[in-house]
Amino acid sequence: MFFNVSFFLQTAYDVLSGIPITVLVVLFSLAVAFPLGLLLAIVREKKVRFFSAAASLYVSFMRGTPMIVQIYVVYNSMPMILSAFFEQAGIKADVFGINPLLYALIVFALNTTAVLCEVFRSALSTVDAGQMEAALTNGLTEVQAYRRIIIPQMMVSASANLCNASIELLKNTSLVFYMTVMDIMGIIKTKAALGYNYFEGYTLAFLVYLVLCYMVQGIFRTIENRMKRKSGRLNSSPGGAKRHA
Amino acid sequence: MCRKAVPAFIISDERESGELTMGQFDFFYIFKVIPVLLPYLGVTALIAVLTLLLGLGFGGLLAWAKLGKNKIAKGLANGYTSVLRCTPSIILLFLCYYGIPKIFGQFGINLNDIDQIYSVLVAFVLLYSAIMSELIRSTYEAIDKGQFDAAATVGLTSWQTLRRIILPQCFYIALPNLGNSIITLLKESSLAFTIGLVDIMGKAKLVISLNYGNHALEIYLALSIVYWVLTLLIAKGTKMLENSFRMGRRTAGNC
Amino acid sequence: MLNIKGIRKSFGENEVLKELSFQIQKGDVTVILGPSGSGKTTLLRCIDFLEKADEGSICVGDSPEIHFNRATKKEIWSVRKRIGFVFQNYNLFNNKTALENVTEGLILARRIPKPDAEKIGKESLAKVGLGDRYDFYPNQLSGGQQQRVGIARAMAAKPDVILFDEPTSALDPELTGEVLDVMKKLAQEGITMLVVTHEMSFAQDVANRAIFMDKGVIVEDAPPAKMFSSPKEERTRQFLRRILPGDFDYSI
Repeated sequence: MFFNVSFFLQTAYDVLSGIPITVLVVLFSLAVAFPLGLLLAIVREKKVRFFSAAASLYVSFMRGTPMIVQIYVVYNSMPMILSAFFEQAGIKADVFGINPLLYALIVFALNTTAVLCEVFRSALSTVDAGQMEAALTNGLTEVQAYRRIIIPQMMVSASANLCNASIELLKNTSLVFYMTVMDIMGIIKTKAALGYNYFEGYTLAFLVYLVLCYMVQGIFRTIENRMKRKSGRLNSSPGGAKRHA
Repeated sequence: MCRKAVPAFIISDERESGELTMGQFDFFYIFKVIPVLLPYLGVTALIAVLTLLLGLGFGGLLAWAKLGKNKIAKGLANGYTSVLRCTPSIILLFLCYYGIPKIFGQFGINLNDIDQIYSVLVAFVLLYSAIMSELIRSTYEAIDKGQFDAAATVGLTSWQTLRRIILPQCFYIALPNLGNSIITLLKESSLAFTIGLVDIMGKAKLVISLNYGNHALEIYLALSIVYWVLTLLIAKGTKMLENSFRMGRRTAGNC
Repeated sequence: MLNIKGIRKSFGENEVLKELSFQIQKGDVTVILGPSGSGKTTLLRCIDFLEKADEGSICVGDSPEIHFNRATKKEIWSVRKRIGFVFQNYNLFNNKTALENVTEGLILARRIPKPDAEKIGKESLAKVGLGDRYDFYPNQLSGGQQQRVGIARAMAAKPDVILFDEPTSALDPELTGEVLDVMKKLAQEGITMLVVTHEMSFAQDVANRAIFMDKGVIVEDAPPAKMFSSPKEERTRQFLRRILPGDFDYSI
């Protein structure tokens, strides 16, 4: 038959157990990348002697190499690095027994940090330099200025780009099964291979990611509306990216 | 171009988990393998160029629909963009790879033995036309409508206005985003190996399997260097183009 | 010279121009005044076919009457050929130099050969005081300089009348002077001008005719001195009270 509907429905049910893994990778990466990316963005802007250059290099590398290559590099190097680390620390651990999900979390956190660094950098540039000057002359320390004045303003212009970055992250997680992690794609591929139901399987994958993506967009829209109501600003995204349709 | 083979990842999974127990990490291997991989950049470049051209073309049509008055066309174009923006490339690749022969099979056309590159191109053109349509649309909207008015008052026809005034400005405005899109295209094209295409990634996978999984890390590092250098070159090139097309520098002291 | 009859324009429900008619004689420097929303800009834009008026006709010189809502492309060009337009936001072609801005229309629309066009262009630019900046791009020029290029572009082909749509509204106060000076110079040379503006000094010093518009109709039409010192209509009086400096009541 042209389209194996029973396979489709059955696998749709099985896929549900893979969704938490995808969500975990996305949320973990965002949770780690948000503060780290923010820190990196500020470090790059302030041109701290060694760290700014190192940060630039790091970001350049993460954004200049394909995700799949990063995945392979981490997947192939992490066990070695970890076993060396464990040897040093004298811990006896079975490096090969480590859940590959850990490596997935590492590589996506690293990548997302670099991406968010750039998002925050451009958002930072939309905040007028005079804000910091006003804060300092009013007695705030730099840290306080960032926390109470600069960063809140940044977030308004960053929100559109953050949504874009989250969607890219979600799409990239479709590659984790190359690290043998059983996420949505992993489950679909395994089941599809049994009966050569590849077309149905990938159609299902396509729909699942579509739904997840719209949910992400919905969440961001809610957050943005909440922010707008709080700060009472009109809808403007100076320097921010235009939201796609 | 290689014949249809078992998708590459299956080979690699088995071998690579074994890699860790044998073979030392050889730093210099990275540089030894780069010359082996570089020739296959040609395939990558071919895909990139074709996708760019076709994507710009189809994307232009979509942008035209989005900017026009026909509500149905606008809705379809926007819907298309929205859906494709949420589709991971790898899924689209596999969908085209399996789906195209299947769909055409219903009409009695046997496409089971066509080269993978066609699936790759279809998938990427679909994806990139969505991106390009947004680029073109936002660039067009960024042009001050007053330019059209002024051109009308001095007597230029619509075509003259478009060609001599509007499009050159569009090009300049679009440059940074265009550069970014090309870099993204380059990175996404790295997934073409999953359906068996032998571009630089595909070749790397072949080398790894020929080595029984040895030196996989070195080879992947070599790949990352190649891609990184390419990305930096594209970024540099875009910057240079921007500079030469700037049409008047902002000098200090001018309003 | 310019005869507008019965022009009507609505934007949706909103009737912006309510059957206006007036005539401009050669050499007239006419100022159009009025509160925002009175339709002044729309009137100018309709005359040059930047907006399509719903009803009405226009006659330039002794050419046939052309109806706004039925004009063919040829008819539109026959009008535009004889009208120059200066925009509030200058609307210089951003990717062209000052000289190219002036010559673009000459070369493409009027088929003037490039060397001749450039000569005309340079003369035009020299007249507005920018003879040495002809290869500058708009973003290298100040607002006042950009507007002067706009004026040079409008007058290069020696049109019968030049329309000015709030030419100094987008400029910083220090820069309006240089533009108004150029406009004064043009007026003194006898060029027919129709100017929508809030610059009362220009109206007083340079214009020989003032038209006060409100809510889409011409309320009053008189020489500026007369209108400012003894306005006939109450609406005109109210408007002038808000706009003019207090001591005007005593002059002339």
